[in-house]
Amino acid sequence: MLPFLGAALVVIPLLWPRADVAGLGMPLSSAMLYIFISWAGMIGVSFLFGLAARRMVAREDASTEAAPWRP
Amino acid sequence: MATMNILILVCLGYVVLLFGVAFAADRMAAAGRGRWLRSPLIYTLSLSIYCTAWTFYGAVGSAARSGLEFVTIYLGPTLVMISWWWGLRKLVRVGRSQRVTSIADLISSRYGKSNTLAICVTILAVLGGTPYIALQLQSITLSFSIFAEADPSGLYREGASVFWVAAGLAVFAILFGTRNLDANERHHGVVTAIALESVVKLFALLAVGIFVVWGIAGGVTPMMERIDASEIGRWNVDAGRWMTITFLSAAAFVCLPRMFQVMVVENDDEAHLRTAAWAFPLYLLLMSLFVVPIAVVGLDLLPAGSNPDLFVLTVPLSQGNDWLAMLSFIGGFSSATSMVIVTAMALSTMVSNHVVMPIWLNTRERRSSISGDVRNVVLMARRISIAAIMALGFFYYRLSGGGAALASIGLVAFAGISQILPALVGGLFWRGATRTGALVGLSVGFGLWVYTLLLPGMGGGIMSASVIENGPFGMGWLRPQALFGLEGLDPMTHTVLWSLSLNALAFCVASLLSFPSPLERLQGAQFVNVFDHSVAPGGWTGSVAQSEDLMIMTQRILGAAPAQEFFQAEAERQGVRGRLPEPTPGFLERLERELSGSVGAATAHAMIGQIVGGSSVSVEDLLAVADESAQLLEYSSQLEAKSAELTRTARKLREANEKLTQISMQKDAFLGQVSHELRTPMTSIRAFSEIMRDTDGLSADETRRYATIIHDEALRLTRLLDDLLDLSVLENGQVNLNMGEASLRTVLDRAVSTALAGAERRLKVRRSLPSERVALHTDLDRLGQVFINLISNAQKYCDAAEPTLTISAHDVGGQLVIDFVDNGSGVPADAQSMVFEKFARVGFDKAGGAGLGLAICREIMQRLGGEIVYLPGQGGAAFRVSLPLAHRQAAQ
Repeated sequence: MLPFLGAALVVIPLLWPRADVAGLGMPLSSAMLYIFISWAGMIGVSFLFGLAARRMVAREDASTEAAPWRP
Repeated sequence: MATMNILILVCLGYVVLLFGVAFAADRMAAAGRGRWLRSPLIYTLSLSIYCTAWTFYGAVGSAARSGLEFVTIYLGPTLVMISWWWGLRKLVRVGRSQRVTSIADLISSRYGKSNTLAICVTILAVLGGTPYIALQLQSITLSFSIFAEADPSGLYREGASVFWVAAGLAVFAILFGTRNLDANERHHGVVTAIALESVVKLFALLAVGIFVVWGIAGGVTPMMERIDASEIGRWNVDAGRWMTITFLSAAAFVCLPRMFQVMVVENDDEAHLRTAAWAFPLYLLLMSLFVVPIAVVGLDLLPAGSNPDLFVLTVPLSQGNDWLAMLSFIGGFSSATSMVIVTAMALSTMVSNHVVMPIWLNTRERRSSISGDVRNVVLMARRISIAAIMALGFFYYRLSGGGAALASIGLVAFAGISQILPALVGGLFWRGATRTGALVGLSVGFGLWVYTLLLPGMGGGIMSASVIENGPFGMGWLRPQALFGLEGLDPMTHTVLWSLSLNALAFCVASLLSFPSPLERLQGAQFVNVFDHSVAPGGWTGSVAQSEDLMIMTQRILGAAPAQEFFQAEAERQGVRGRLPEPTPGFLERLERELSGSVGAATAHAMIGQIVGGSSVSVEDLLAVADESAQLLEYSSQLEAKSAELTRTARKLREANEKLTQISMQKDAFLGQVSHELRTPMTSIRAFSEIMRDTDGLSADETRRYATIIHDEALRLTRLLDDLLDLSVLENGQVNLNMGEASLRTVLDRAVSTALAGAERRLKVRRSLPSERVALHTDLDRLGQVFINLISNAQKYCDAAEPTLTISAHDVGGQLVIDFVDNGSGVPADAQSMVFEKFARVGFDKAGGAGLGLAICREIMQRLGGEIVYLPGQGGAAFRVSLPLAHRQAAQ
């Protein structure tokens, strides 16, 4: 889900009115705020996913270690 | 103000520091200390060579020209990083398990260790990488020139500085990039130096940004107001470019040789990706945080016409903050040097492994005597390659003359290198991808990239303006920037759209049409299912005699001591005395991986192949392929089952059809026989009745005789018709059974007396009365009819002098069996199967029977739930009548 969410966030600015089309477009400061906040959001989610992935990998390792040793 | 001299001093000092750090890190790694060298933090920081001088300086320039578009360059890699679990993790795992040394090695390894493919990727990478290196040289030179302008001494000469910068970078890359050969040992020195440079450039950019926001603009809120008031203060981004560049930067992030080098080859631990997944996007975010403020302030403060690409330097300088400018210069210098060094290392590995080594091996093959040390050849090849690549970059810079033409080359290089993407992604996720597909896709994408972007971008010298305007030979639909009439698009979007889509399409189509070689199939299974079975493919089989040759070869490549160590360890592992291990498949596999770390998978495979000869396929490999085959097998077994079912149905249909045909033929035969049987008596009736009608003066005797004949024949006809009627009723199943109870003896008594009444010949009937004390519950009249038929048959046809019929009854397997055996010559063997058919008569017609009696008997017995069969080999005609005893039990 994460990549799709990220892609959606990146594409949203394309829906904003453009300066040359709509006269006065979205102010650049708001655009910056949106982009950097959503960017930081992605980083946060990715961090949380990293923690989850760590547990997943740990579980996998545990299950392989528990398997009987074979020469 | 002796800025220039200080600058050069600082630069030199910085370079010495880098050397020192790299050297110390190498030493620490060699001594086995310094666990932090392998920490995820160093890995993340080394990834930041993605941010080159082009992004360091150029991002601000890009923001000054087209607003927020520059963030796409960072958003693409961010998207790739946050989806690491689905993509990069696999790439890194494959890279580690296959010991790939470069992206060309990875592609070649995936597609059956094909060197052709590796050469293609190498050429593409060199073509894309050289202008990129030139761009870095340009940025260093430009930043030098900014300081030179401020320097009154005027000693600065541009050409010389570029040359010395290029030469210095080459030396650095050669010193630390080609110290050790095994990719497994990794270049700790270089990576650590790069990590340090990443910190420096981030620090520099943040320092300039903080100075601009709080030092010049006076805080965040005034800064925001200033941004909105500036000429770029409105959202104005071309949607096509926005998406194209995001996609392109994501693709390039994976495909760029230098990114591949730090991300996959230098990766120590897969778990580092987990940290880098959030830390690297964070780094990118910090790098781009102050870009817009710097651009806006630069546009405000500096005179119109000043180069926005250098705002990072010129803004602090214009404020008289020389030390900050110096720091920012060092930041840009760091970005450029780290990128150039890693790119040169990655490209040189590719060039030496895929171009120089195969050529060298080929020439060596022709000479019978082996001379020279492979290890030295590899190292020398790499050193020369680094120098050559740097020289190429330098000359490219001199030829293009720097300037604006170079500024756009970054994205052009991105688009070129992204052509690897379909083959890479297809190779990792699609087992059907083949070498031919990859080659065709790469060629199509590369050709389109050169035609639509590279050549038109290089100015009028190479591609004339008329070709761009009207297409080659006036063919409008082939215009390089409006292919197939697709006009109005940004050239970059246009190229990426056409080249990547046609590349992917050609790749898929050619893959589907071509058939992979066995090695390709094995490698495909290893790559796509890397998480299921992480073993190297292509097992070898060899004999002990070859171990020595292998040892000699390994020494040449790895060096004497590491090779002996490796062999010794192997021998110990195998429990073999002495220093030479058995060339087991496992050992050869490890050796190949060890060697591929030095010379690349394709070359290592070829070298071991030369010594050992044939390669064999291990059970694991077969299992890997079998995964694929199992699905096919299952599918095909389903098909087989269906086909078998169809065959069965068809056979049943055929049988049914045959039966129908037979029945139809039987019906025809039956009609023919019935007509014949009816006609015979009719003929005599007609003949005699005609005589009686037409002949006058017949005597009374004659009249009586003729009338008797007519009467007899009429009787015969009536009997025949009765029989036919009876048979038809029985066959149609319309008969009503008239169930009754009596003992077998009673039924037989009645049948014998009826059958023998008025018989001309005497038939002696022998019976065993005790066995006949069986009570029956059945249609007694019908059963009696069967018995009468059998007895009268014996009476008529038994040809013995003293005809005798023996009737016996037994209980056989729960059935009441009554045998009728006479002492005649019996039924001839060839007629036995026919006796129960309609109109079947044995021999000539003695007694004028119609031949329906036994047929009727059979039908009756079927209705009664029993059967009647002929018993051969009883000395005479023998019939067995069976009845289920259940009838008897029901009767009791």
